[in-house]
Amino acid sequence: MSQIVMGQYYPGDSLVHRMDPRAKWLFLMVFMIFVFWANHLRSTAVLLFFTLVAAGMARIPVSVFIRAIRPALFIILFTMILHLLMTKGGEALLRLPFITIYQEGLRQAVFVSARLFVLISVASLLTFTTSPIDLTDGIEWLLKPLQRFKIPVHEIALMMSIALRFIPLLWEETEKIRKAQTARGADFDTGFFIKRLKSYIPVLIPLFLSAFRRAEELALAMEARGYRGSEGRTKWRQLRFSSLDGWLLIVAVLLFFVLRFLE
Amino acid sequence: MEPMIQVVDVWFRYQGENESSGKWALKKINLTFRTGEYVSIIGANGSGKSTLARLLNGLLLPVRGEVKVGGLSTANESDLWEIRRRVGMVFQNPDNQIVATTVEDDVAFGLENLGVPRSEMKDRIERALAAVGLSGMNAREPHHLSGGQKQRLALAGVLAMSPDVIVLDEATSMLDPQGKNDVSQVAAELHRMGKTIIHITHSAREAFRAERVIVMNQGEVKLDLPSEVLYPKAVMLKQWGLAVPPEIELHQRLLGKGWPLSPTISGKEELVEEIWRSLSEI
Repeated sequence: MSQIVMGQYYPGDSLVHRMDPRAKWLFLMVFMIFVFWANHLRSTAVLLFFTLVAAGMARIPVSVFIRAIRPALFIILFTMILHLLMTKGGEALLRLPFITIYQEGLRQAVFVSARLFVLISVASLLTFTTSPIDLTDGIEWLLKPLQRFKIPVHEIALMMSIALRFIPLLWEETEKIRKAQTARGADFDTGFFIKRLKSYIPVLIPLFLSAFRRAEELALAMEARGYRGSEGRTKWRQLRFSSLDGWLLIVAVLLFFVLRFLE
Repeated sequence: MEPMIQVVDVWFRYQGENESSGKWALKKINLTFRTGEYVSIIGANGSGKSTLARLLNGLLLPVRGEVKVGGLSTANESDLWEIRRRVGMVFQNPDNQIVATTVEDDVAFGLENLGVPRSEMKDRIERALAAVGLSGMNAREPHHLSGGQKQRLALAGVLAMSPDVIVLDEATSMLDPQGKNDVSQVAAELHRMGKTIIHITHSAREAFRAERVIVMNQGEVKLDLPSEVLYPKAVMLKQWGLAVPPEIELHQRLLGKGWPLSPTISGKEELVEEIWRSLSEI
């Protein structure tokens, strides 16, 4: 149960798992720019190939991978069909009574769905191979420059990691309250959307109350342990760039030149 | 030797409560805790025992009077952080005091707050985890620990900061018997290591593990006795709504029925002996 809510981290020890979260974040950003830069089928094919190789290296089981991107597959399929039917241009490949499929339509359908697939796969690859807490640490590092503008980066990162810590707890609690309310005759499974939504009010109110109480107690406990903000604080968790991350940089540069050649 | 903690004529009331109604949460508390003592504070709900605990590390400040920790007053804001390092506290709910997503990170939290250099942390974390019997669980996630393990983790987090005093504020009341026992045993172990332990509880049985028992009722200290002195007289705890250890209760009732037992006992074993003896005499 906790696995569902704790994001989709798939623990492992592959090369991709061992890379520094900051490097992975940065690479993801650069890669996304590449994806939008690639305006030809052949360059998108290169990116697709790269994505599949990376996924293979991360040793994520195919079934797990597909389950994670299934919701997105629907959107991919939908845009694919839309492009097939709506985009006109080039030779007509297929003529049916109401539908005509043009060459350009086919090209666009393949191109756009490949692009979407690449985007979603690479993003989930990051969450597959990086634990939530490492993701948070990575974000904290990336946001650090914003400290100059008086943005409380440390506090934001601490909030995120506390949220991660409490998600499984609150999830368990939701289930408990749900069962308690069911035992008192609450009905969560019938009726249309609005009615169902309303039936969750008796779950949410106790949940919020308890969350506030927890927050208060946690604040007290943190104060008792000498917490007073980021000032004068050292850090236990440390991220280290390794030679692996250097390789990631080289891959990024290579991809850049390949794309420039193909575009 | 200077006492570890001094509570001098402390009165406390929560803000927002009517001042003229005179409802004090704590009234005229005078207590001294010496270095290396193992003290328990018992009292029924609302007796003020948890409020007292929170005054000891400056989470609450007295309305009147003063709390001093090793000579530092909690009223002095600049000393507050040093006081909180010296007086570690473990709270009631194991879930609501663990901050980080792994065992090791949580122990590190207090050290990070103190600004301990990272090179020193590793060693202190390992030692703290070993002291509470959680060695090797460094990477575990807190929600996969049992209640007793979570409380021991909280203890480790406090211990890593090398405090002089550890306050257990009903730290065992939400645990199963096994967990209660484990936490109490660790507390006793830390006491042997020279820490001052202040155990706040409503269970008389746990309270008598300490060397000294303080009984609170309605914001006042009713009794402050060495536990071997209070133990034989434990029946008197009833008047403050506290449970009496079953062996004491049994002893009293047998005496009431006219059994020829000695008027005081010092423990379960002695009662058993006494009963055997009197049965064999019949």
